Amino acid sequence: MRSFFLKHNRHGKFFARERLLLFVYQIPTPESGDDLQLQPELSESSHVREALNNYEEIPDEELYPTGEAALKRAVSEMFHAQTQQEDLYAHKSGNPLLAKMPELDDGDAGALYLASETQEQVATALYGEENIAPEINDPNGEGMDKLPLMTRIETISTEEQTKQIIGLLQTEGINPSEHETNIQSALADGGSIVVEVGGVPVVCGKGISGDGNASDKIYFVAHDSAKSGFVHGGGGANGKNPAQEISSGSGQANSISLAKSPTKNGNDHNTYHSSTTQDLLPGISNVSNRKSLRIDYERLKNHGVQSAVMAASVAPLRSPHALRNREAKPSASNHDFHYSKAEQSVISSLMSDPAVTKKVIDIADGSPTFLKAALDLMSFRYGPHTEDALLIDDGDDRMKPLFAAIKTHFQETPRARSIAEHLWKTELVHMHPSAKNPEDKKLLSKLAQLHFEDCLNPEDWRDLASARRKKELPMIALYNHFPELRSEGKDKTTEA
Amino acid sequence: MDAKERQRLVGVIKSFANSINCSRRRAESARLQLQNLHLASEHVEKVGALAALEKEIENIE
Repeated sequence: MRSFFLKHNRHGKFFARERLLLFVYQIPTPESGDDLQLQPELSESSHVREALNNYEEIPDEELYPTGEAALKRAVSEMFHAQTQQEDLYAHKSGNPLLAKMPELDDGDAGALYLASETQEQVATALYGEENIAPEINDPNGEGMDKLPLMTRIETISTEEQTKQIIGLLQTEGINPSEHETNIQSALADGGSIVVEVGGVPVVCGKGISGDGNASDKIYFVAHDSAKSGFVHGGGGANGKNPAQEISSGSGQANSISLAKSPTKNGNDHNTYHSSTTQDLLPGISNVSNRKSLRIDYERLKNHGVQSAVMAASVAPLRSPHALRNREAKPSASNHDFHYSKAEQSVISSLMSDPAVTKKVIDIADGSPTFLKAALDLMSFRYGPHTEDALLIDDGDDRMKPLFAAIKTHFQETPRARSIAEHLWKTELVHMHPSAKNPEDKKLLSKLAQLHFEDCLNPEDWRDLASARRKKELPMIALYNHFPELRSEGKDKTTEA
Repeated sequence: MDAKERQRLVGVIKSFANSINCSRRRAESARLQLQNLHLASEHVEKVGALAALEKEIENIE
């Protein structure tokens, strides 16, 4: 029997949807991981069929296995529906990159998905959906105009950009004082600011020079200070932190070439041509054929910073889907399920672990929103649904075993852990110090020191979810992990 | 298994089953829309090709 999850593209080629998810797991990480059993069982299961036909007749001893099978099936069906909708979106929007994504090799697609999703999440966390992709609020979400990301960022004042970028650096655990002057001078000169977030270069700022001219100056802030500096068009300000021309990893400013494309009459094949079909993601410059995609993936690895800048210069964000759905909305219904590829990959990994699915069944109360709450939790997305899941009756006693199972799962699957931590860190970017409490700014560096696995417990997660929703700092989690902070400041937990 | 636990588990399965049905409807709806769009594009391509062919024939004549 052919799996329900096999589908064919317009050329009649069959490919499995789950292959797409496997892509993400090929992302190179510093840790070496075992092979992963990622995808929940996809073949038609008698348990599920029976459950869909007649719930009441299921024998007692079959209830748990049926529940687990139904859970896995529900997740798989949801992701499959999402993929179908993305295919539809790709076709309607005529976005050639989206159409090409399924044809990329595992590692290429995984890295590109992660890069693009990180760019989306960070840009919207810094400047808000309304500034970065307002069209996603259109009723049908399909009216994406072609304003490049960089053009959108340019409209935000350089003061606001500097403030937000400094906050981001603090959240990332990077000392901003080493970079502040260069960031300000680069923005004043009309340059771009790129920050390494979760190993991915992300465009975070773009200035407009006093004379209104564009600048190709790029200032890069990496976790490794040796890699930080002016990647292109250098020039440190005020004699501080003089520009470094980066020679490896993310450097070689002049080596980028745009894809060659023939002019209309087909004669001039050496004309370099930039269009919105190019550089929609870092590392992609020509989506017209498979070979060039391979070449450009190399560029993503070697020239990530410039590629990110180029992508942001010529293209809008990849797709409104991830943006629209990353923000959990209180009114979300079953129709609102939509997860990024990175999120899907982590959920699939967890769903492949019977120890985790059993705990989810134990906690589930049969409410229609529970699945959404569980998936938000397992995709490391903080929002109202995550809070709901953590606030069920006798929550902590019932939730603790789930967190323990998740922790054990990550010990066995370091790649899944690596992606989960990346998602978790991106959520921290949304947390901001209160304007009313200037002292909170000092706590941003502490936020960066929070350890992912140490926070895998109901109390910290409830606080992080609440802080994410309110755009505040998670004071309970911070006090739990840094007790010395209690004595330094007033105990805000009592105010909450 | 007591009746309460059974009721809880049946409720969980119902919830997941509803979600499955909902996702299947979404997937099928998207698939049909996509199929229609592909058919429409192919039609447009064929009409275009036919028009080009007719023009070529006219030129030859």
